Amino acid sequence: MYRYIALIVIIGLSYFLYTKFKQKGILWNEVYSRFMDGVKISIGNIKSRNKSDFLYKLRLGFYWFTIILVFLLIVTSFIPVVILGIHISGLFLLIHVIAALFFCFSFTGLVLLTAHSNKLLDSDLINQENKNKLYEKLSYWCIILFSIPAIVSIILMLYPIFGSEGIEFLNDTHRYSVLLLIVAATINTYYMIINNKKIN
Amino acid sequence: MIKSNFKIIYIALILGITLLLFGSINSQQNKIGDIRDGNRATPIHLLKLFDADSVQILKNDSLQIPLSTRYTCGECHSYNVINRGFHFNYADKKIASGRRSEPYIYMDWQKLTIIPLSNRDWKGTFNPAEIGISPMKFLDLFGTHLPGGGVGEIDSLISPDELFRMEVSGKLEVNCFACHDATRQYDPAEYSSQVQKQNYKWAPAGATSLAVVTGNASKMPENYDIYTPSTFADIDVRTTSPPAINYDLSKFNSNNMVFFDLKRKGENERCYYCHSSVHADNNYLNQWKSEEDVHIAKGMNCVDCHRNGLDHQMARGYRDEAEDFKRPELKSYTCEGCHLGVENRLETAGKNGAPTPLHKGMPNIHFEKLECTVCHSGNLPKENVELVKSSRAHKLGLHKSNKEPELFPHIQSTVFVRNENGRLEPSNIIYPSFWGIKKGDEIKPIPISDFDDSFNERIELDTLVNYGKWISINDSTLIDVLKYLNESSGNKENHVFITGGKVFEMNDGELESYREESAEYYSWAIGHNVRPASQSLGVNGCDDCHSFSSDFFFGNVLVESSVKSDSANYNSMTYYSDLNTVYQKLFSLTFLFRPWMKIMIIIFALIIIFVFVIYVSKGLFFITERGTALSSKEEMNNV
Repeated sequence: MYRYIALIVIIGLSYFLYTKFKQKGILWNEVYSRFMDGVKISIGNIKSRNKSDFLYKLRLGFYWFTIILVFLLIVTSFIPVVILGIHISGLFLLIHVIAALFFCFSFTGLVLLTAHSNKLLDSDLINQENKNKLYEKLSYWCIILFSIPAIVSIILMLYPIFGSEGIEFLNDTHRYSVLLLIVAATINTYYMIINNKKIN
Repeated sequence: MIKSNFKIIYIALILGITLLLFGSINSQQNKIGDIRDGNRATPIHLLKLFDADSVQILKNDSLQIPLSTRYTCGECHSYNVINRGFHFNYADKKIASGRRSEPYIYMDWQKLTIIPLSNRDWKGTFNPAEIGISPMKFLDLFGTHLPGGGVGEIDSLISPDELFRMEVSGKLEVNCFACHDATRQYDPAEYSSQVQKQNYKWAPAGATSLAVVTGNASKMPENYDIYTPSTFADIDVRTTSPPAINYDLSKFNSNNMVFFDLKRKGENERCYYCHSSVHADNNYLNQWKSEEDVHIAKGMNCVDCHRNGLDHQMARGYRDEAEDFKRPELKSYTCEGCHLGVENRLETAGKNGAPTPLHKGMPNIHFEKLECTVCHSGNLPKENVELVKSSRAHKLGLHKSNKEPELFPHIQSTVFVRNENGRLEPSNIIYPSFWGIKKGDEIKPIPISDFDDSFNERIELDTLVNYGKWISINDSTLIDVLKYLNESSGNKENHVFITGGKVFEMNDGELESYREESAEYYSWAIGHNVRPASQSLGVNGCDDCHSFSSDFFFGNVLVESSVKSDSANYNSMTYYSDLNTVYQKLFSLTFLFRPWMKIMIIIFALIIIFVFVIYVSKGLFFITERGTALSSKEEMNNV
């Protein structure tokens, strides 16, 4: 069941991005450069951006490290679970387990260093032109919201607390949370690109 | 005239077909004991005895003839239906073979030969006929632990060359008493002893307390006939005597009927005679140190799970049995069937009070990759896999059985082998060792009758007595023997020697060896003894298996070879589990850091939750604050 839902979500997200970029007139070869700029702007907090700023570098480092780890986690879980329809095992499991630990670390760092810049402002609520910035922030907080059950479910699975049915429930919680997290992250990335266009 | 003749033939044909049909329908009718009336009390078996010619045996008969179970038990139960049951149908090619099981192991240590045999179509075994073992030879070799029927009885399976001998010994009918005799006096070892003497038709009665059997049919001439004294007039009765049976006449009542204390459900002791398996270690042969299967310890019987109906198709209890035999009801007699329920239908779960396992903290992938028995059955894994002895392979239970711990054949257990479903299962394994003929890619053992008397001398064994040590020969001896075998066939056949998982053959005068599937080990899954949850693998945590030196993954399995230059090799357990050793070692390392990992992830999760709660609270505060401010402004404007 999860397999089909995940496939529908992935196809749906791809369709969403395709139509939205088309509507906004963003060419595919522009996406990468806009995304890169969007990252720098969002992470760097444009008003106080200083390229020699240690925290900026740290934020950027955490961001890219998290992106790489998310990519690894998605590949090692989606290939067996969504594409092959089996549980994660073997090399996929080994990479997934190791990557998950580092993901928790880098994601925590990222949250600590970027949460404040994503707090809601007056302008986000009142100014209709800042609507996209509001969505970007909301999607950011959704990422954090969905990451909590994704991580907590795994922690609970590591202890002999739940039986087979409980573990199956936790497993489902993890999988669906991650799926929602991916939706939120995609939307967040989309608004980063869109907002960047506006700034330019 | 011709027309009327046709009419008569026509009527006769119709009548004949009708009679045949009626006869066949009639023969399939249930007998009085086939179906119960619903009364749950065990019926009393006060029976008339019948011999193999279906003639009643009377108390005062001058010549006492052994009872026939076909006619005595068959009086009330459909013997022919029973005779197609699992314990008797092993030679019936029409019956599905099911999961691989313990083979009959042909062994001749002086010829360095160990061959797993089975009439069933189990990969890795050879049909006894392929190596020249006739049905009677099969009974001589393995009949001690056969409950009769099959090759011992079915005419089409009996070799024409042995018909006269079979007339002397009689047929080895289904021994109903082997399972159903509820008295303590039934002696399975005596049954084995009678089978060894080829006293086939005397054996079932001889094992009961009803009769004493003497004599030895194997020593009788082929024209021996118990009804004709002249056929055994020449026998020297000082060395042997004709088979005879003496009934305990006090057991006959005035109606020439005998009471049999029989039980529908066979007792565990009866099963154990043929299905015992024990550590070869001397320590474990002391019974007080060994444990009982948890089901038995809780008061169950083997047949509570391994059930059968009149057809005697025993439920073996393995996962795919229902599909193999197209009997869906068998699904509920597996581990899952009783402990979890079939496809979550709870009505099948909890049979015999089976508890539902919790498996706390065990990732569900284990239930995809492992059979239940991996954690709950067999010996716990050890650094070096141990030897076990089994009833059938080591003739346990016989009078004067060999009690040496390391007696041939060497069966190693527990080895975790990947089965056809891709799951691991605890198994026993043996490595075959035999002289064979290679044709193309196929290697078959040389029939045992093809070895001449001088063969044993050619192997140049340095001992004439052997109690268990694996015999091995030098390369030079092996080369000599292979050359001799090739030359004796005029170099038309390519002879090979299989041992230690390798094929040895001569190639351009040189001895070469290589691994090949036909030389590989034969394994069969084990289901018992089942250990309770508190003694299962994994009860101490993940480290039971996922550790750097785990015996479960990296235990050593000895590959015994009969060639000195290739002896004493060990395989890692991963070889049998079809796993990658390097990967398993790496994966085990992650468990070394797992306690730290758990703590770190908890800390990270707490930080994320903390940040989230703070900012969400702030956000809510912000929204309510702005909401209130906006409302006040609007009110002011209105004023």
